[in-house]
Amino acid sequence: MANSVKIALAGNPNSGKTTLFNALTGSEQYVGNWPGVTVEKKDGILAGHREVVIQDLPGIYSLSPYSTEEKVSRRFLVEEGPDAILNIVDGTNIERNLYLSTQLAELGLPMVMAVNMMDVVRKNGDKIDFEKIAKALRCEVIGISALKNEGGQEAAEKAVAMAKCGEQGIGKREEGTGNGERGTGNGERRGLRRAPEVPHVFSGSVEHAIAHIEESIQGKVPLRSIRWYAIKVFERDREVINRIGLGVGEMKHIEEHIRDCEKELGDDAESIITNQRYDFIQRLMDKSLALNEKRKGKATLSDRIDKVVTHRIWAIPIFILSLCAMWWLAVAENGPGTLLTDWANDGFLADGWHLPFTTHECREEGRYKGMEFEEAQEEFAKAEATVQAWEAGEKKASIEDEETGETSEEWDVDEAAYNAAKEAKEPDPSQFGVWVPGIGALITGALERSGVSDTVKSLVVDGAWGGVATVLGFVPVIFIVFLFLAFLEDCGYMARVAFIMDRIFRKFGLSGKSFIPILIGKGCGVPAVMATRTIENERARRMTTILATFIPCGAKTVIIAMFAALFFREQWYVAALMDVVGIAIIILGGVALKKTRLFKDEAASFVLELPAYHPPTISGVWHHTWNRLKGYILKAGLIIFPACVFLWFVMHFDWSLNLLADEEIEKSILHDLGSWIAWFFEPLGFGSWQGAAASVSAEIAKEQATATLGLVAANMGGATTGSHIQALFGAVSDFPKLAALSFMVFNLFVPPCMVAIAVTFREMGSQKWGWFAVGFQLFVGYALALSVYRLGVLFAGGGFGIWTALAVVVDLFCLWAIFRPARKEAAK
Amino acid sequence: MTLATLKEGERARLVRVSGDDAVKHHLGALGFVAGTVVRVVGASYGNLILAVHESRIAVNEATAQEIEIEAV
Amino acid sequence: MNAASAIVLAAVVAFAALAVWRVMKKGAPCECGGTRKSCGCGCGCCGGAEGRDNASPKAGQD
Repeated sequence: MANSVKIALAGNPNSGKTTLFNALTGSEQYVGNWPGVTVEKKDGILAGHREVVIQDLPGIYSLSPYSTEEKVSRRFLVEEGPDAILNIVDGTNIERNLYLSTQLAELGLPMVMAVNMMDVVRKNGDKIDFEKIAKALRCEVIGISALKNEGGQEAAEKAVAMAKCGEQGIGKREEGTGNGERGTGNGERRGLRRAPEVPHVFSGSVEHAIAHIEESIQGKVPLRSIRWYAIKVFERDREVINRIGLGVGEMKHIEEHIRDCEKELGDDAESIITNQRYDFIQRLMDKSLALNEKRKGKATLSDRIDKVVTHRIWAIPIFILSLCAMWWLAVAENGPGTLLTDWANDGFLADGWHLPFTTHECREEGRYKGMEFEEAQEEFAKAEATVQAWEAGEKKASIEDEETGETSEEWDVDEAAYNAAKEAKEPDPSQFGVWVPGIGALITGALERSGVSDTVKSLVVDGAWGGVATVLGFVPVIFIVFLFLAFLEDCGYMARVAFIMDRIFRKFGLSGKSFIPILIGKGCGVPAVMATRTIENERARRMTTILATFIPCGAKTVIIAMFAALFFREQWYVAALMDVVGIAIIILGGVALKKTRLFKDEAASFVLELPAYHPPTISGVWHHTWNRLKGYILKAGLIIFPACVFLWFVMHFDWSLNLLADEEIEKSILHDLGSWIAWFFEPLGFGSWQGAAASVSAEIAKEQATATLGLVAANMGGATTGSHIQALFGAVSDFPKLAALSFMVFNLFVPPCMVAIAVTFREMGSQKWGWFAVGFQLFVGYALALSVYRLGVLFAGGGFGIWTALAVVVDLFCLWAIFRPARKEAAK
Repeated sequence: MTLATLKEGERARLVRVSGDDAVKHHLGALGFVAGTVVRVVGASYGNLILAVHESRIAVNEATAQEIEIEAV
Repeated sequence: MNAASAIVLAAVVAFAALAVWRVMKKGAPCECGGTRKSCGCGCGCCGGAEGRDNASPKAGQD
């Protein structure tokens, strides 16, 4: 856009930059990637100023050439040249934050420093002298609290104002020409002929060398940033030197100056610069920072929490406990997750539901008068059973408990009872309270009223809507899981988890840096695999890529949700167990892989900032949660929906494309396709065409497995999708719960969905490694499901068979792969 | 003497950071420069949580072994 | 098949085709926390969880 003003937002990680960015740009953000890298590129329009673009740079500690984030940032700052910089600084951690600020100031761009978290600073009783800092760094300094929405907008607008002045090349103030005079913190460009006022941070001899370098490179770099460039040359920054195109002769001359300094100060150039920056900051802080005396030496709240949370013994139990808390909320029988999911699956998306607090006894005359809705439904079920029994010539009628399948009531029937029962009509829910019809009922109703044929009705209601509804029904569970994770991330706990996990990983010879992708994988496997790029060691990176997708992702969480609801209602901890198993596979898998000739993990360094704990903001947590949830819902519409339509077709047509009736499903294309590969799943306990079809369909998207199950089980016993699936597993195995567990385990721990596999191949860079990854994952998932089912059956008294033997052999092999002695060179 | 020898609650002054350039620089940017005093806030299994200025930085044993210190 | 059925059938197939086309063109959405897709990785997220900046831990440089 012409005349647009570009403001770069730069600051340390954990400085509150994201909060500020969100506050300044609202929903007008665009998120993408810096070209060629996986670093996120975010920009947005400043609220109220359509011509101003705020470019969010990645959180960085410095402008060195060592990490992608830094490279991307400095490239933007020196080449694309924003019109102004908005530097956000954490006021509670100001010395470290200023390290970057000194570098930003040297760029010679108009700069506003927003000192954030002033609310905490004030609460702590500390005092910061903004004017002194402004003078020293030649920029504007404003205190803000992004969290409390104080001052952020003003700071941004100040930057805009400065940018616009600079744009026109006019100095903002008349006094202070920047010609050796101490300017009053305005740091603007003064036109092309003179270098702007930038802070002089270094000691005599270093400044001397820098001045020489500036002379040498003058004309080769933009004048306003000449000092920044000179300092980088002094530090022997390869990237900058190449960019400037300094000749060998010129460099030799400069080298002499650098070496003189190094000799004099007894350190290498880069360290000299780093040390002197901090010296400068220290002197500045002595003048402008007054810490509250009473706080000195006292442990902060964060420290005290960390004592417990990173405790050598309690850290892991606490972590597992928090996982359990999450899963309890999400899938426990009486927890909020199950409550909402049941409402969604049985009510909202299906037949309908009563508005809470409006239910009452039936007031109409008739058989249900005085009853509550549930009672009336039972009464009707009994009547139906009576009719059925009498017409079949039985003397007794019975009804079964929906969940256990056992007979819960039995009674005699005679002609009188039969006649009375025949009169019974299904209770009308609207007589029992305010009834809201479910979406399923609405769709069915609309179709019936339009006279749509039964077949097409089936396509829409059972196929398309049925499949999508299965997946959407678990949104409450996904929502709770994502919410919980967002909460933990925002308050700062996740950093501690990475630190704790590093300890464990190290004990098994792996690197803690491998854990970061795993945390990301809890949402989706694709960015998890891509996050492995930060691991320098190629072998470690490959290994992490293979292992990263074992942690259940969002889509796999749906599978967990469904099986928890249908088979493990009383055993909600099975859900939490899946996470634990995932992590265990990663650790043990890593141990086993390391012992092969193919992988090796050096004792890598691990450095991580632990931000102070802070109560998560509602908007922050909401943003994180909603973004993930949105993706999930979109997926339902864009992937699950067409997949279910396709499945419906191959379920209802045979190879000659004749339309089949519901009962003829065994002649369908899908049945045949499934049967051809069902043998593969036989040892796992669900060797039927349905189980096969569901598992294969999971490669499109893991949650598709649940939708497919709903579709293929449609003809089995029961009234709801849930009971169909329960009946399916009952038909497929004598140990339905074990078969269900095996199915879940299989789909959780085999190769991820197609998209994630594609990314794996890309990240591995070679077909060989891609296939190795897929092969390894398939083996692990299969072996685990096999063991779970066959050994489970064995312990349940089902006997020992050939597949049980196979399970034992495979398990012994795995144990050997994990516990065999390591080769000498792999050992520390 | 390196950081790896410190126990919880102890303080020390940094002398120098060795090791690979990228790590050195990263630590430097975080405040690990000669003369800075750091305090061990937490320690377990060789991993340390250090108070550097007002921030908290976690390092593993391998990294701690590359950071030379002196008593303060 | 009557008119209503034909219309509904056509609608369903059309929407399904539209969905498939959109996925092929713009990449699949996924639950990774990204806001909008543009990374060409075949998935709607990329670049790490959105909270990378101040929430997810940042491992040290090697």
